[in-house]
Amino acid sequence: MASDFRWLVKERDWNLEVSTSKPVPVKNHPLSSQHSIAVPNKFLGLPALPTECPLDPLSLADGNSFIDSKTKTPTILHEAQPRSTSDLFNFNEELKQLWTDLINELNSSCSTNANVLVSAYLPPPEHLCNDGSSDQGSATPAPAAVVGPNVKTSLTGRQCIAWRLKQLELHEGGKSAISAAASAASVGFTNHQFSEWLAAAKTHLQALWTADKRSLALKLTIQCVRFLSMLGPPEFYGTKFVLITDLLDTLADLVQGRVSGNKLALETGRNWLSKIASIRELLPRLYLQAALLPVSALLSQSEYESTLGCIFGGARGVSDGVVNAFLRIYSLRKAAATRGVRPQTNGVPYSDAQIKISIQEAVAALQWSWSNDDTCSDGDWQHRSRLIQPLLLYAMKLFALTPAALDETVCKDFLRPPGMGSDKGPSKIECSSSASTLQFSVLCSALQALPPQAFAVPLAHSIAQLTALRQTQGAWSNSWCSCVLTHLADRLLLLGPVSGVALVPLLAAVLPLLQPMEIECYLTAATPWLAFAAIHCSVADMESLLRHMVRRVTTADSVPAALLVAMLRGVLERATSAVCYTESMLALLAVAQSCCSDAALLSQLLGSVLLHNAAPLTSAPLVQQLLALAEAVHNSHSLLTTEDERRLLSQLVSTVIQRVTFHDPEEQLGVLVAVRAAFPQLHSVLVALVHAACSLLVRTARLSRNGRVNVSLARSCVAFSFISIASLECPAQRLRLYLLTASVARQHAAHGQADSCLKASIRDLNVCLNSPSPPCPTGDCWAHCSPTSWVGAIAGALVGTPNPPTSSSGVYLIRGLVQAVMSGSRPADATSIMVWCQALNCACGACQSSPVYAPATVEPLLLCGASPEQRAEAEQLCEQLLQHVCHACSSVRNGAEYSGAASQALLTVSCWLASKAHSPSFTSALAPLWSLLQRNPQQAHVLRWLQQRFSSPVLR
Amino acid sequence: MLVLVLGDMHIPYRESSLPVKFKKLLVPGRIQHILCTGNLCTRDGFDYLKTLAADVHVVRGDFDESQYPEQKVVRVGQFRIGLCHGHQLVPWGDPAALALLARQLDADILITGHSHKFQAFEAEAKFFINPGSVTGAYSALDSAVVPSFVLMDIQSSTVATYVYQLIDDDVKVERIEYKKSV
Amino acid sequence: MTAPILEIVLKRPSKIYNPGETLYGCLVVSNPCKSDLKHDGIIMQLEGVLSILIPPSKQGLIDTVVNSLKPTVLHSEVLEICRAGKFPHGTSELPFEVLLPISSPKKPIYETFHGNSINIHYALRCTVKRSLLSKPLIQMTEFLVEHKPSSCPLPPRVREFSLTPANVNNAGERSRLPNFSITGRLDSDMCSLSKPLTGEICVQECSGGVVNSIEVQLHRLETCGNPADHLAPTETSEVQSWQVCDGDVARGLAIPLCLPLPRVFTCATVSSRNFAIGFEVIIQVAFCNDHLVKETIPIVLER
Repeated sequence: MASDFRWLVKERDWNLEVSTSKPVPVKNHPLSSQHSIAVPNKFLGLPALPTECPLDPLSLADGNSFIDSKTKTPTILHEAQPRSTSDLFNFNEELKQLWTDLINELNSSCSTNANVLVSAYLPPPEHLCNDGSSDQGSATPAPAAVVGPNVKTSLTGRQCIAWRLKQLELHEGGKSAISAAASAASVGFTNHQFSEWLAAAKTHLQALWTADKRSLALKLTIQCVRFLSMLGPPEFYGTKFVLITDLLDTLADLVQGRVSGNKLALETGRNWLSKIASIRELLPRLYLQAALLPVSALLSQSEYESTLGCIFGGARGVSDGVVNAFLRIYSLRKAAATRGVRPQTNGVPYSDAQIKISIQEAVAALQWSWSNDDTCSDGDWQHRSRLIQPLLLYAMKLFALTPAALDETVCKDFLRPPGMGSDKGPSKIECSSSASTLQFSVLCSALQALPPQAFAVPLAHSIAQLTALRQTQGAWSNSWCSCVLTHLADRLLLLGPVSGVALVPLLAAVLPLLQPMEIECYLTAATPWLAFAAIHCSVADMESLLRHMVRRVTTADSVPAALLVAMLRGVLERATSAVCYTESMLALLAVAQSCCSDAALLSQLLGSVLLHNAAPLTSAPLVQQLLALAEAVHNSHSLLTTEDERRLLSQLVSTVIQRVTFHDPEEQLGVLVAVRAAFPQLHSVLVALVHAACSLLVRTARLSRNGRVNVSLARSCVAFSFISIASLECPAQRLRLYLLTASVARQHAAHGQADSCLKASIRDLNVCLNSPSPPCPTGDCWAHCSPTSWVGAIAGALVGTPNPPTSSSGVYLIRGLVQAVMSGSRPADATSIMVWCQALNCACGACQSSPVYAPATVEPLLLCGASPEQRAEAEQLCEQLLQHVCHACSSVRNGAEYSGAASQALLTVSCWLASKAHSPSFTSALAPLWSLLQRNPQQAHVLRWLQQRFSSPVLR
Repeated sequence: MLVLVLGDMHIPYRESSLPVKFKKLLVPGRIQHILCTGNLCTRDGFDYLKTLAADVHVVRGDFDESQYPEQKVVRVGQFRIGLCHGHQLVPWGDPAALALLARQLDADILITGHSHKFQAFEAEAKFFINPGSVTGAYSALDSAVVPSFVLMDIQSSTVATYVYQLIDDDVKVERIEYKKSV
Repeated sequence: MTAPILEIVLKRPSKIYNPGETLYGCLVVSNPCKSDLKHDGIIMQLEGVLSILIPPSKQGLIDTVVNSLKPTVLHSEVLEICRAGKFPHGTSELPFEVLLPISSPKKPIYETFHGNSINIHYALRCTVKRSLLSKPLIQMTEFLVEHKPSSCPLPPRVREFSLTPANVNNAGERSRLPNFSITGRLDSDMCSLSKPLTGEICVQECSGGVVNSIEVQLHRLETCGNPADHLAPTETSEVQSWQVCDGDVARGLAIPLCLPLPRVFTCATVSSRNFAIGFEVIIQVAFCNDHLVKETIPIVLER
């Protein structure tokens, strides 16, 4: 039986087994040659590795994307190049996008919940187009205007009289077709009803078209467009415009579909256009001409241009500024959409030339009609500006798509406000509400839309001056000033390199303007300016800027946290890491921490600090501030906090821990202790803490002169780790960290602690091996791996001697390991056999009386200097294990994994053991192993190799 | 064909990044394959390797947070290259255990790590390489680690192995040749 | 028995022809019956008719002119495009060509014009003669005659105008008018019908009132009888009206006029022995107190 055989552990000498290759030093190697035939990185499309700053891969990736965003030129610049078909497609896509934006903006500007009286009288759509039928016999094909008193402005005098007569008739009780309308007039129509009405009109239009009543469809459209001729309640005008232009587009599409699907295309198109051109009223005529521009683009160049001329020239006749502006916007959109259809004249599409003129004329019209109106309150001006801005923005963006936008002087014209001619000095500019409102609107949209090249520093200066003037005049509210300055800074940020000389006076001019503003405006405007300064200014300058900021923020009653955080992130992303260490920045971080209750914002802020500063954190106040931020986030966590949020916080805290690099290791350990106290629930933070404590020890040792650390530091670090590990849940995780701590402790001569760590790890191994898989509550814990991996790590550590070789661990640890692997009710499967072999190797290694790696310079070292008692005990353990293995092998089935395990066992025997006194049981005991191996043909070469080993005289 | 062999980065727990001089050498587009002996620790390390070459093979070390396989065989040209982190072999780095593993994997070249110490030897017509730690992170047994990695230039039946070591902030390169016996 | 359908299709979709041109086209006969359609020949007739009708309002006022003038046939031409035969079931196409003669002083071919009292009408009439028992089938289509545009461009004759309280004609209400000055010009008072009417209008000044609307109107003058005779009745009617200013526009802002002339109800200005057609442009300004001020500018329309 197995108990019969006795084993001897052989002494091994690895020098006999290994012939280490002798490397030859070389100058020329594959990686060096690339300095001469360097492949430029840009061709590979991969980020170049920064060579100066020590970035880890994480910050490397982020750093690159950051650079991208900084150097990215706005897409609009590419639009200026000559277009290919795909460019044209992009252009059209962009047009569509702009238009969608505008529509959304206009729709949102109307407060939908408020019922606004839009119109006093709305006939049903069916009636609208029948009204004209009586006029069909007359010479004018245009239908007469019989809509209601609301369109009186567009009626001629005669029609007004006619209308009044009808009204009189009504009052006298005369029977009239419009009596129903009159009753409606007393109630009025709200915006909702109006929208529904227009939807009905649209359906009706399509119905008419399919019923071949095309002229009626046209009449219906004309009647609808009439509604645009009066401003009505201004807050509804935008929505009205959207609805009615949609109707117009529907008609235009129908017409175009008919024209392009018709073999008499040109004739039909001309007919339509002449029909449109003979509409009596100005506004419907112009709107319809604009709507049908795509049709006229199909005709000759001269006809197309003449139509454009009709529209844009005719638009001057619309006196109301707002109506005028909306008309021009619609025309511009249509003109831009057709620019690709017609060949260009003088290299510039004809429609492009109109954009600038049109904007200027629209602004002039607004100026005129607003200057006549002195009944407006301040709030009205705000409102008007809000109504006009999206339009101007749309027009400016259209303009920015044309090559002309790249010309600096052209853009300057836009920025010169209305009423401020080039000859007048800034002191003479008009300060009426209308002029300043317009100026604000134009400036604001220009700043948002035009390419950043248009805003060189001198121009920025004059804009700042203008803002200052308007502020002192009181013509612009603080929020307006803030808005202008914000947009200006946003443009400057896109501008790229600016000479620092011109910059300081600009900042000096702007920043005082911000001071008197409300805190919201202040922060909004300061955000881009500080970001801009962060790129171009020195740390000292930044410090003084931030100091102003601190003063302003601390005196404010309540600070809007989101704005403050956005501002700080803007600065952190762009400035050098030195800014983080300034007192003012710390103070601002503290303010942000105290005023912000939103955990997500705070963790973003924390992330920005860490992400954009790859350098080690060497300042204690900064680290404290960062941890305070993290704690604030942690404190806000509740049951509702998601796993992702916890993970993010853990990551941030771990990053802080990893970056902390203090001169004094005790102080650094103090930080670690504080972190453990603050975040006891975050397991990945605990893991990071253990790692940090270990590397603190290693790093301190490396930096010290003799490569040693003082014992007390080593002990406290190890003790810290030991305690931290204990609060982790996963045994596999604990096992690894105990081992890590043990190895570091041994390297720094803390042997007692090292042994207790090893003991603890063996205890956890026991837990791991005997628990049903997986061993810890969180099923997907990454620490889980195969038992061979765990046992290998422990067994290896037990027989390895640290450098410098100080002492050996006791054989009791090996006994513990052997007991751990043999205990429990694990089945005798392949994995168990492997694990037993590992333990066997470990026990054998512990028996060696001298290091097998003979020359002491060769590492890793095995434990050495075992006493006879230890040796005896180790041999006893070996015997037990081998019996176990052989017993298991005799009972198992076939299988690749079993033969693998068997070959492992045979190798162990061949390497380490010799049978005592040529006992015949030696071969018989191993017989089941051999047979297992023989049964698996795939392992034939392994079998042969092992047989050779057993017969080799060297090994015997 | 250039095959980069490295491992035991231990970023960010033990070291914050690769040595600058190594980063200068490791430029995208030069290297076809990367064999990594494990212990990258976080996903970021793998992402970084991916920027150097598209074909990256990693085995799992004792501190890896991702589920890589424990062993792997990669075919490059005429060679079968076995890859294993090595902490499973007791004692760590035992040549006999390595030899058995090489047999079991039927590999011509076996690459292991874990010791954080460069080593290369030939035994029984097989070639064994340990590239060491590319970051110079401390190991379980030693804290004075020389950062090193290996570059294999595989040409038909020959492998020219270049060893890059950072000694006193200087990159030293050595060369070892291994020829496959027919 | 369903009747066969006739359709005259001209090759030119616009149906506009100059004198001296030939009208190409075809007659499309659709016979829905299963049986053949017999006929005794098909003739095509080109006919131009001038009819002058004195408006009832002017009747009796003038003795010198005959009350109603017989329609004058300007040109008539008949040709047979098909001998007697039959049409099978389905669609048959019969091509034809007719010459529209060149206008001569003796036999003038005027431009097509549809007015209140003067009508100049050109048509193709197709008649399918059938056996005695059944009625002939007749189909008509109108075509438009325009004179060839003159090869040399018209010399621009700029016509400036100005409206002030002093020079408007409704002087009786002058006291109620605001103090205004509206100036402008037509780029030419000889206009080509194929080009838009262009010009400019500008409200220079308007105090004590607000301009509500400015319209440009095109009126036609139809004279029945010898235009040289001052007593010949002339009827004025509006052809087209365009609003060019809506509301109170900015002072001193030149508003360009660009008004394509209508294609129907106009023709080149013409004057003959017994009728005349002329045009005038009226600038009409409406103030917000419903006062209208007008300025009339006679113009000549040319092709």
